[in-house]
Amino acid sequence: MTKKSTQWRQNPRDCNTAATNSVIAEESACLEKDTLVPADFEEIYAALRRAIGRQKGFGLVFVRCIPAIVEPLIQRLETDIPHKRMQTLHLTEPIATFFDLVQSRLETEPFDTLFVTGIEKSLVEYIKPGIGGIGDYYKEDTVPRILGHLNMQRERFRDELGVGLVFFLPLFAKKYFIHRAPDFFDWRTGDFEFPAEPGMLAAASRQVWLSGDYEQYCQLSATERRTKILEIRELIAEQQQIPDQQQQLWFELGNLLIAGQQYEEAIASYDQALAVKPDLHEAWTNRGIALGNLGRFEEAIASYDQALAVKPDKHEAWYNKACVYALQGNAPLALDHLQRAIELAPKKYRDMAKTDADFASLRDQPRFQALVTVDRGWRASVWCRQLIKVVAKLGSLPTVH
Amino acid sequence: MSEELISDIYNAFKPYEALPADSPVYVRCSEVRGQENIFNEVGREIPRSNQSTCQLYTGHRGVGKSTELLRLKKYLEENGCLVVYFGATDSDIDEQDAQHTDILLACTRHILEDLKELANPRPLLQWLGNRLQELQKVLEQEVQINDPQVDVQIGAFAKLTANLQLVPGARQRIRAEVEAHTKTLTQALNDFIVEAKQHLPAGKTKLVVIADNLDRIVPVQRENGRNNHDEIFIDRCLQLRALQCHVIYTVPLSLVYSDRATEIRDNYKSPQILPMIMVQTRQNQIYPLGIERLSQIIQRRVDQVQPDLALDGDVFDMAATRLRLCEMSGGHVRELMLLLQVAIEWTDALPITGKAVRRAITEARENTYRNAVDDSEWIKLAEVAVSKQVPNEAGYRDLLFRRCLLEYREFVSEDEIVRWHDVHPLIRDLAAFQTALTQVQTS
Repeated sequence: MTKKSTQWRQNPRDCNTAATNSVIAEESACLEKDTLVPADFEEIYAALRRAIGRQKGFGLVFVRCIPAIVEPLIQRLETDIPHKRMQTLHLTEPIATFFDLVQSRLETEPFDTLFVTGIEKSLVEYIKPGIGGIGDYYKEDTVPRILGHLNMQRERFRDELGVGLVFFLPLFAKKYFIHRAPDFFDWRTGDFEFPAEPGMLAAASRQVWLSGDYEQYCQLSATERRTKILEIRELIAEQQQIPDQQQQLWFELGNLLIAGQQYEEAIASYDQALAVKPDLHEAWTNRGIALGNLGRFEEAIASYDQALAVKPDKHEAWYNKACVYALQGNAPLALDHLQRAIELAPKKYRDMAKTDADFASLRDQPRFQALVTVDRGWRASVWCRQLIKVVAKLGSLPTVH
Repeated sequence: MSEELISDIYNAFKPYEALPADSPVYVRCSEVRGQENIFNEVGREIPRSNQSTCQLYTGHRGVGKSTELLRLKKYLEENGCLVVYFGATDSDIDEQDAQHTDILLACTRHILEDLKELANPRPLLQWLGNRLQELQKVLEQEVQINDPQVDVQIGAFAKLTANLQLVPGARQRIRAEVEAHTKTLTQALNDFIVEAKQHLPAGKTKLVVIADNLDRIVPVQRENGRNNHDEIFIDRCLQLRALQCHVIYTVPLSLVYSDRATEIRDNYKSPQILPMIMVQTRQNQIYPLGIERLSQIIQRRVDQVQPDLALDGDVFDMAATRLRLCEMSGGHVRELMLLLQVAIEWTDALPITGKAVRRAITEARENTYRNAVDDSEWIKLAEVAVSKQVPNEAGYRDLLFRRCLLEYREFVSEDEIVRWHDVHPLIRDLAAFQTALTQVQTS
């Protein structure tokens, strides 16, 4: 073994700063940019495997990834690190303390490394309006109980248990640790992020909008809705997410937020979707609904107009615009728009308009009544029109002799 | 080079151990921390002073406070002091919303634990008995602590708060009960302290309490724009200062940058801040001496594993790799350990390559620091990068708390010691920061 440099090993007082300076100049030449292309899955896995394999005694590792890959990762690690005894703790419910859980697990069956999933379940209930923070997250006027616990207990994990803990968690939970349990997080020996592979991401994203349904969103409890919102945000933030999936996810997120009456956030989500795909008329329409619910009528109308510019027969936009005009007290425009909506989808809007509270001010007007009532004359005219069409068609057929 | 060696080196850089006072791996960094010297600035006053003193000690988390305080403890012990040192844990401090009574009870408990042979604990026992009786009445519930050990009793009493969580309003009531009797508790504790001081072992003339880890209290924001740190250390400073012995509390660095900083100075003299090791000057030039010290920290630990390894060549592929790692730590010792560990995680066999260090830097920047900054904060960071100063405003103290902004100290001359700030080097190359910086520089 040869010593290539002992320069800086001298007594600090005599340290040769000139020599260091020359190395620094050299350094800037060869290490100009630190930012590397993102590591691929296998490279990150190798680093995680080394981190867990080399760790002796206590250690903290954070692994952020989408839920779908947690199990396969754990199985691979168990196979690839045979010299460590490993166990997994799946948390399915919110918890207030963690130390005792690990301790009792250790007493029943000793291990060197414990994989922990589901810690985020203890954080969801703290996502609510408060002071500071971003959106409804990481509020500065509360500390989730589990995070306070971990922050103050970190020495006990080190001194009394002496095992490695590997937390698998979503992005929002990691941010929660950074913001509200900074001392615990500070003891980590690794902070890994596994990008989801495109195929897996596409499947998970598709799952979101296929299962998405506004009626169903309205039935969700506040916690269920928050969990789903977080799930979508995680998918959006994925490194390899493609724009087309991203805009669909933003759109779904907007719908979820409307169901939760979080209109401002919903508008912001639709804006994100529209930034990727400006002709997404569904987003323009629903954005109009959110604006209307906030009483921002002019903006709502402008949003519906955008939808109609893309798709002139977008009957939802015609109908919703009619509602806004009615709320503004503009009866003629309200009725014109309602008429157009009814022409496009007669059955749907006749029934809807009859009971829609937005039209309360118009209900007694003869024109409104005429629009929502199916009179015999109108039926006859429809019948006649169809007859004419049939006759015209017949007329074009070759004559049979 | 064997996997065993690399694994031993990996484990020599655990980011979570304070060094004991005579540790062979300790490196004195006073010179590169603006001549900061805990013996002079915190310690010296204690053996000289006839009155009890109360001082605050602070610095970024992981900068080396506990290591310095353990050295101070030894220094004081060699200079005629009996020292009660404790790191507050969850059994002392409420995990969700700590208050000054938690700190008072924690001090009481640890003083009792250490000094029970020197004085009669009966007055404190009496105080405790009275509180339990009254609590029993208000909570309409059996509240009993049967252990005859006084210190255990106090500990258990402090813990009551947590154990009674499920009883609605219990926490507030216990708090109110203790709060209302802070004065008598302080009185009983002081009687105990005064008596203990009369029975100090031969050669000891002073009693010092060092309450470490109080900087661990997570700030909880109030509606009036203040937080629980302000309430504990500013509003309740009279209670914290009331002990009849010398006390040193560690506090969060962000407290010093509160808009009520002058009140802190008035009450505790100047809080002592342990700054980062300077690795870059205020003129954005690399500061070689700081890099040397950080390298020495690495060398000492490697030497413990295998003494004949050269840093440049055996541990790192070349000097430039080592320099880059030191520079990007921002002079923060725990960050240095962490970057080094991550670099080793990305290394199959020594030496650590430039690529592995770049990977460690990229991962820390992208995975951790990018997530520590909110969108609205980039401009604030850019402003500090230009001005090198942190204004006493709430928004900035959060950034200090999260270690996105770092504090340095430069010794210019005996009369001029400059405290200055900079953005964490790991943030410097984030695109969002660069955009904000351009914006600040052009405006």
